[in-house]
Amino acid sequence: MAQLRAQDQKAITLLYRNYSAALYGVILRIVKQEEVAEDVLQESFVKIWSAFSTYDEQKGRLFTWMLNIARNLAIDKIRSKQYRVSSRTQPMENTVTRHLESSEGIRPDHIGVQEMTEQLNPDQKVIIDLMYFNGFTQSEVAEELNIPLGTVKTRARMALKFLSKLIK
Amino acid sequence: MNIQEYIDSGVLELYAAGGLTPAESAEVDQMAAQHPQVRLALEECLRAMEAYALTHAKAPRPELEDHIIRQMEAVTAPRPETAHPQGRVLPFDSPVAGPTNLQPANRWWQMAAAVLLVLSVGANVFLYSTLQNTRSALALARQDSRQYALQVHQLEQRNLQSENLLGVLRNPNTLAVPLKGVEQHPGAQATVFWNQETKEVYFDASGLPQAPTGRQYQLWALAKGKPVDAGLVKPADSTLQRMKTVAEAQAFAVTLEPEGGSVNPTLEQMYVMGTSPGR
Repeated sequence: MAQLRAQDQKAITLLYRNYSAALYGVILRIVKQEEVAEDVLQESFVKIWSAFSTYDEQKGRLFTWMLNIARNLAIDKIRSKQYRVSSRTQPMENTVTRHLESSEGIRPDHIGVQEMTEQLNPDQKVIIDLMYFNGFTQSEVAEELNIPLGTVKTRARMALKFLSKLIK
Repeated sequence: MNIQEYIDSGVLELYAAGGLTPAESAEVDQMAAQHPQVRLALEECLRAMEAYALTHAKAPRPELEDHIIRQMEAVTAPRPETAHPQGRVLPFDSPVAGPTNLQPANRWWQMAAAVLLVLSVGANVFLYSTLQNTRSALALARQDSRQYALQVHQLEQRNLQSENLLGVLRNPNTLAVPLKGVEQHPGAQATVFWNQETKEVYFDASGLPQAPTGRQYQLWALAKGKPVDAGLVKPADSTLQRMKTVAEAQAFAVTLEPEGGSVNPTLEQMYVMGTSPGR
C-alpha cells in the first residue's frame, strides 16, 4: 500500500507540474479572473485525479481529456454567473471587440506565443475562440457573428488546417 | 453522405473546438468509432486544438502547487486494476517516444524563457527587416512559423513523455523499490521504479544530495551479489529518469563516482541502497 501511495504521489506531482500551466492558461482565458481561475484549476485537478482510472487511452489522448475536464468546469463557471446573460444579449460588435481585447495584452508573459498565432486569420480565429473559450455552439457563433452556419464550419476547418500545418 | 464528404464538412473541426452540442458530439464519436478514416482526421483536429490551447499556457502562482497537490492526494483514485479486473495494462512505452532521454517535467519556466528569447531575437530581426525589401520579410514570416512549429513540437514531445511516465507509475507491473540512506548518509533517499515485465528502470533522484562537481551518481543493480551498472544519474533532472534495463536484481544501490561513471562501484561512496521484492 505504501508503495502504491508513493507511486500515486509521484504521478500527482508529475500531472501537476506538466499540465498546470497548460490548463491554467486555458481556464484563465475562459473565466478571465485569476482568483476564479485558480479555484477552477484546483477543481479540475481534483476531478482529473479522481477520474484518472476511468481515462481510457483508446478513446483519446490524455491531454485532450484533461483539457476537456478543465474547459467544461471553466465554462460551467462562467455560465453560472450572470455576466453570461449580459454578454449574450449584447450586440455582436461589443462581444467581438471585447473578445479581441481579451486576446491581447493582459498577460505579458505569453504575448509572444499569442503573436505567433496572430498569423491565424482573425475571421477564423474569432470562431475558434468563441467556441473554445466562450463555450458557444456552432449555431450560437453563427448568430453572434451574423454569418451562415456553413461559413462557421468552413472557417473552423480552415483555422484548424492552418494550426495543423504549424505543428507538422 | 460519404466518408470524405463527412470529413470535409467541417464537423470534426467543430467537435475539436468544442462547438457541438453533446448530441452532435456523440454522433461524431460514433462515426469515428466506425470509420478509421474519420478517427484519423478527428485526431488531427484534436492535436491542432491541443497545440492551440498550449499557446495560451501560463504558469499558475507557485504557491498553488502544494495546496492543489494536497487536495489531489486527499482523493484516493481507484487504481486501474481494481476498475478493470482483467488487469488492463497501460502502455509502458509508446514507440513514438522511444528510448529518448527523459526530460524534467517542470519546464514551463524554461519554456517561457525560451519564448521570450525567441521573441527578443524575433523583434530585433523584425526591426532590421523593415529596412529590407519584401522578399526578406517573407523569408522572416516563414521562419517565424517554423519557430512556432518547433515550439509546439517540443511541447508535444514533453506531453508524450509525461504520458509515458504516468503510464510507468500507474502500471500494475511497476515495482517501486525505495532506497534508504546508508549509515554515512542517513538523510539520502531515492526510489527505483522497475517494470517487472519490460524490465525497464526509472529512477527518482530527488532525495539525493547534489553531487559535487566532477562526480556523478551511478545506479547499480545487485544480481546474485554482483553489481551491474544500471546507468548514470543525470544531474539537474528533477523527475524520473530512465535508466538501463535491468533483467535481474535482488537489490539496488547508488554510489558517487567520478563523472562518466565507473566499471565497478566505489563501495565507500555508497549513498543509498534497498532490496527489491522483485526478481
